[in-house]
Amino acid sequence: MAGRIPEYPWFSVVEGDDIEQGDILESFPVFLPPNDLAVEESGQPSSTIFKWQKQDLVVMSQSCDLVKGREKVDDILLCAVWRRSELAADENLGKDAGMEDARKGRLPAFHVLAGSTIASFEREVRVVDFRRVHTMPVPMVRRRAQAGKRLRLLPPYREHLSQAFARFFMRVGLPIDIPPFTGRTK
Amino acid sequence: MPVPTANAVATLHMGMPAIYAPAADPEYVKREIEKLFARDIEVLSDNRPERQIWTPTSVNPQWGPAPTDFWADELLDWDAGIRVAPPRPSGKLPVTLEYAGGAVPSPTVDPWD
Repeated sequence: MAGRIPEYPWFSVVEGDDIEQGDILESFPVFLPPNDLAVEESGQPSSTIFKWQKQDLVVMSQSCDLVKGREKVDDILLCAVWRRSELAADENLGKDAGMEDARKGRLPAFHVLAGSTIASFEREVRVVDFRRVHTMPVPMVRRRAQAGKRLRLLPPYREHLSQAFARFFMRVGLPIDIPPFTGRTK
Repeated sequence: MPVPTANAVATLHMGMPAIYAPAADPEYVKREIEKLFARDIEVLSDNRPERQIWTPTSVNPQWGPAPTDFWADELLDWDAGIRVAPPRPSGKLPVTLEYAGGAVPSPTVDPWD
């Protein structure tokens, strides 16, 4: 008699300032400098206005680079995460067919995360947007993480996300491609 | 003469024992197949009794359509993106920029660590 298939939950709930790849930071403030920002090296402070907005983010930096006290990076790489309901108006992801394409990996710029049914952390299906990346200083993210509990994407879903990001980032577009071999042309 | 020769050949083939295939004893076939695949049998995670599922004779072939011509890369839409980001709570923040000098690289202790 075959044994039961072990359960592989997508998420766990964690707290504290130990950050790992796959941690989801909800309503995290991101800062958007103005498009016409001009920085002078005169040494004189200059004032401007930054826009900030609350954004759901997922940690993309490798966990081994974020070990407390032995950090290998100064800033943490994060990607935007959208709830599916937020994408209702999107031309691709606003339709079931588009979400299905994303789920199957046919839209390399996106990665679909399962919904969460953890008590008090019920979340709908979400989409990681590899085109919207942010970096935040490690201490800032740690301080923010201490504020409460959060969802953490678990293996192997975490590595699946990381692999999808790598695939998107390493894409190469050829300026002149080899003509298709579908015809009789040589 | 050509015609009798052809008839003779046809007659010869019709009578070859190899063409005659009497119905095999199912139990004998089953035993032989079990011996043949004795080292390769995997007990499937199936609810049916094992004896029904561990021999190829009990597996119905599933014939699918022939593979169609496609290119995996053409299934991928590399250009897809969210044109207009969904609105999120936002605000404005006055900031003062102070020049801190040119950036310096972090010291490398163990590049493989």
